[in-house]
Amino acid sequence: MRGREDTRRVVARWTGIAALAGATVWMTLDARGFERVLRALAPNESAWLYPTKPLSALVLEQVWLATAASVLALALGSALGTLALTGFGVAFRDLVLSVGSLAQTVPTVALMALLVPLTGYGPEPVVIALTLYGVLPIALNVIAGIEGVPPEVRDAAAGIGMGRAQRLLRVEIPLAMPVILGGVKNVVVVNVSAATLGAVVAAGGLGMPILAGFHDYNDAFILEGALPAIALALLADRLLTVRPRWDRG
Amino acid sequence: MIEIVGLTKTYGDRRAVDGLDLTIPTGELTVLLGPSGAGKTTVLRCINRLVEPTSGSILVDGVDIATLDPVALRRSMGYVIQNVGLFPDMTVRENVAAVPRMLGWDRRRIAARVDEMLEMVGLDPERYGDAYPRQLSGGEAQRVGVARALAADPPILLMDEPFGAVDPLTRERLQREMRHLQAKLRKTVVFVTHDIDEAVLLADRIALMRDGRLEQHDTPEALWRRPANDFVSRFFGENLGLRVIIRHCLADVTLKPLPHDAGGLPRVDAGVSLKEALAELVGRRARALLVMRDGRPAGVFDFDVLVESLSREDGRARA
Amino acid sequence: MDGADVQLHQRARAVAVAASVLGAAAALVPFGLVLRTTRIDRGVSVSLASALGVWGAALVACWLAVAAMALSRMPLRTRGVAASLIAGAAPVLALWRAGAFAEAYAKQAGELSRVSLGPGFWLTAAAAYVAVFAATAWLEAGPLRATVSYAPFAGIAAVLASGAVSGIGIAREYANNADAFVRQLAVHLGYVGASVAVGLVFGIALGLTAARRPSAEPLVFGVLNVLQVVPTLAFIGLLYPVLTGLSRSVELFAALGVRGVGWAPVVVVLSAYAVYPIARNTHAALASIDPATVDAATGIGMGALRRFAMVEAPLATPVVLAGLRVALVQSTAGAIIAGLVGGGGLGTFVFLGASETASDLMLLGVVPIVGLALLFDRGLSAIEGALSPWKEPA
Ligand SMILES: Nc1ncnc2c1ncn2[C@@H]1O[C@H](COP(=O)(O)OP(=O)(O)O)[C@@H](O)[C@H]1O
Ligand SMILES: [Mg+2]
Repeated sequence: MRGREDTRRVVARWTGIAALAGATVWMTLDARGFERVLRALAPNESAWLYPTKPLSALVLEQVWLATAASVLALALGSALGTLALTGFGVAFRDLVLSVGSLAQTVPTVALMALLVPLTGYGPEPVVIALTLYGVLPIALNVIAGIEGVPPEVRDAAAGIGMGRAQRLLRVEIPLAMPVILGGVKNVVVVNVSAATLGAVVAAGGLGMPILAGFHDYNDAFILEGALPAIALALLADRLLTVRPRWDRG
Repeated sequence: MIEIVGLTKTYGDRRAVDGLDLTIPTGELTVLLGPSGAGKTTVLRCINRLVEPTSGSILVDGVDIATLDPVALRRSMGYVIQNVGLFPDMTVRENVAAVPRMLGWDRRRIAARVDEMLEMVGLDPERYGDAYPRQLSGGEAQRVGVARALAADPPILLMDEPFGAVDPLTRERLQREMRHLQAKLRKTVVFVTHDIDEAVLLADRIALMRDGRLEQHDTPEALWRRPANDFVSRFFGENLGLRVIIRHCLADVTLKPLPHDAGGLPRVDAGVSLKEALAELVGRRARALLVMRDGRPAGVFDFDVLVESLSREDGRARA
Repeated sequence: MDGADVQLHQRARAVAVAASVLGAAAALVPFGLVLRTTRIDRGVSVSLASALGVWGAALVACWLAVAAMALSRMPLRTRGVAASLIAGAAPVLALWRAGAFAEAYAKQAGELSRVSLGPGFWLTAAAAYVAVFAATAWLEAGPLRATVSYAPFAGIAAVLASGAVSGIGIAREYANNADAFVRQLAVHLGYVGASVAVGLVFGIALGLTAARRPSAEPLVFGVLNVLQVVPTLAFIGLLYPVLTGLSRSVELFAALGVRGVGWAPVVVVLSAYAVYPIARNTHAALASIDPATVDAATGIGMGALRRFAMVEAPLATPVVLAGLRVALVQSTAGAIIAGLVGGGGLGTFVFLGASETASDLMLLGVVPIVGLALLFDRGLSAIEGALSPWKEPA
């Protein structure tokens, strides 16, 4: 029973991922085919593909913005989270938790716009804003994950003679992984989504055709940006929705 | 009186209760005893219709409960479970007041009753009344559970392993208090447990169950002397006799007359159970004990007295 | 006082000292205030310390004092009150004197010139937040702690009300746009109210459904999760042809002002986002109620309705409110997007400011958004706490 159920879930998950990935790649690479679809969806327009840049370039920009911000946020966030749990840094744990819940009150796009006077237009304000936005959620999840390890498990690990570092690496981090990964997923998905807004500060990405579409009342441009943006975001979400084997069932 | 007739409950093709016939007399405490999975909880939950039987019927004072409104039925029965199930967002007072409030009692009556109940289960209303469940120990929470069940003075009390989740010392105290409470209140109690000592201490009668069926239904003394089958004797094991003597106290047995030089014997109070008296003999390495009643020597207890008393009637004397 | 408390107090020292260092640095970094000859000029930056003269020295002195107190052996209560009041005074002082500086600068550089609050000022505010956070750990929970925690806000409000800062950029933008500001604030709050109302209705209904019928749970949360993941701009983009079509074909929609852009897609998108946190929390709240509690409620004779009203709903309410809080904060921040697609709201100032690179105009939109979000967050947290006296205080 359990086995069949598991297999079904795995098959469903990978079918979804393959479909989303296939759709994204197809839209990106087969410009003519995608144009035909857009033409069918918006027959009244006179142009269907955003003229300034090919879709492949826009998708790459979007992915690059999200990846850069996610990697930075992951590095800084896990460092911050680990610091807040060890040695001198423990003093800052409560502060990190308190500020973490406040960070969401600043709209991402506002942060991007406010950074422009300091950094100029382009990808910089987007990467900086998204990184700042992602650091705290990652740190919060690292803290929550490691603090969530049951004390008896910690005790047992110490009891069988593991040192502090060993305990952290072999027991606490693996057990905290589902929570940490949950945070990583949220941050990556938010970044893939929010990279669309980079268009506002001329960072490129899939927001460009959408904004151009709003500006020119062109449905096709809007869809040309929106469809791959949605596919990418869903793909990131599906890919990162994982549970370790011991946590399933 | 609760009459259970041909009760069967199946889950899928598993028979949790299998054609059970059982009569539970009014004013007595009947223990449903049996190994885990025997179907005890299912029987109990059929009585207040938290579970609907697959077939068979249950009559309370001659009325088939299937014809009654389940909600009204449940309000006429107290219900205590192992995990207590106190309402975490209500104070102790509000928890105990739950049923009277549903029954529409007026405020003053509820307030008076709540305090009375708390005192009855040994909790100071001043100190505990406004506490929330999370502030209580396991034993205290269980007392509140009992107080809540008794608040509306229901004639029937259903208890499912009520003391199963507290530490051994507290459990023993709660059992003793339960015994005194029942001696006073004389409710019709159906008490589920898998703990033989608890069953022997509290029961007027024990209904021993296995795999959804009734193996034997009788007083603990009778179960000891006349086990109906192999399962019964194996379930209780060799030392049931040693357990049963906790039900009888020194005041109920015929003691030996006082000798001339009784002064040197260790003393015990007549209110003590035979089991404790026996423990005293062993513990002090004494041959005999001087039994004191109201501060005066009443006779001598020794091993012969014990054996003599065991060969007598089944009848159970209460403390 | 037990060991855990002592440890907590010790740790607060480190945090307060770190905050003081940050605060002093903020006063000294060379971009405390931005001086511009016109509102969209890039301008030149100066440090708060140098711009504010003797008051700049006072600002640095505040931070030294906070650090010294943090390391001192002063009694906890005195230390907590003094350090948090002094730290809280720093941004108030900076704001007040920046106002005076701006007026002087305007006399010298002309009416079109601007003085804007730069990163140094915002860092000062952040340092004050951290320092007050640390220093109040030395005080017991209660009215005194609440008073010193909120005193800095009162100080800022007093300075704003006094008119002493009317020369600062953001205040000048406000003065120029006062009517539009009030209107767009109302529009913004309208978006928040509408989307959260829709989120509450659907969120509670779907959360209840998922809790009552586990077979429906994967479907409900599968769909809500997808909605949550769709990027805002792409979501509005997808709605564009749909809403355009609707307004063309249905009179009523056209009359209501439904268009591919404007208020309609914003309300739809924000509502869709608001459902998820409320549905999730409703479901989690009901699922986390101890089965023994429900069993006991049924066992003592509560019918399904009464059990819901007396037991399940009160237990679930604080958790549902936490979901509502998330939805409120999310909608308040998210409604900024309306400014990009012709829907008005406070985002209007942000995107207008962005297109003109007028930071002060952007701030006129952003500061109230953040303020509102904080207000909702703190307010609902307080209500949640008040509604659940039975829980361990956080
Ligand atoms: N709701 C249920 N669904 C399926 N099986 C159940 C259910 N309740 C009880 N059972 C099964 O019925 C049998 C008797 O259970 P129960 O009455 O709880 O036993 P006891 O209380 O004696 O331990 C067990 O095998 C149990 O697994
Ligand atoms: Mg049971």
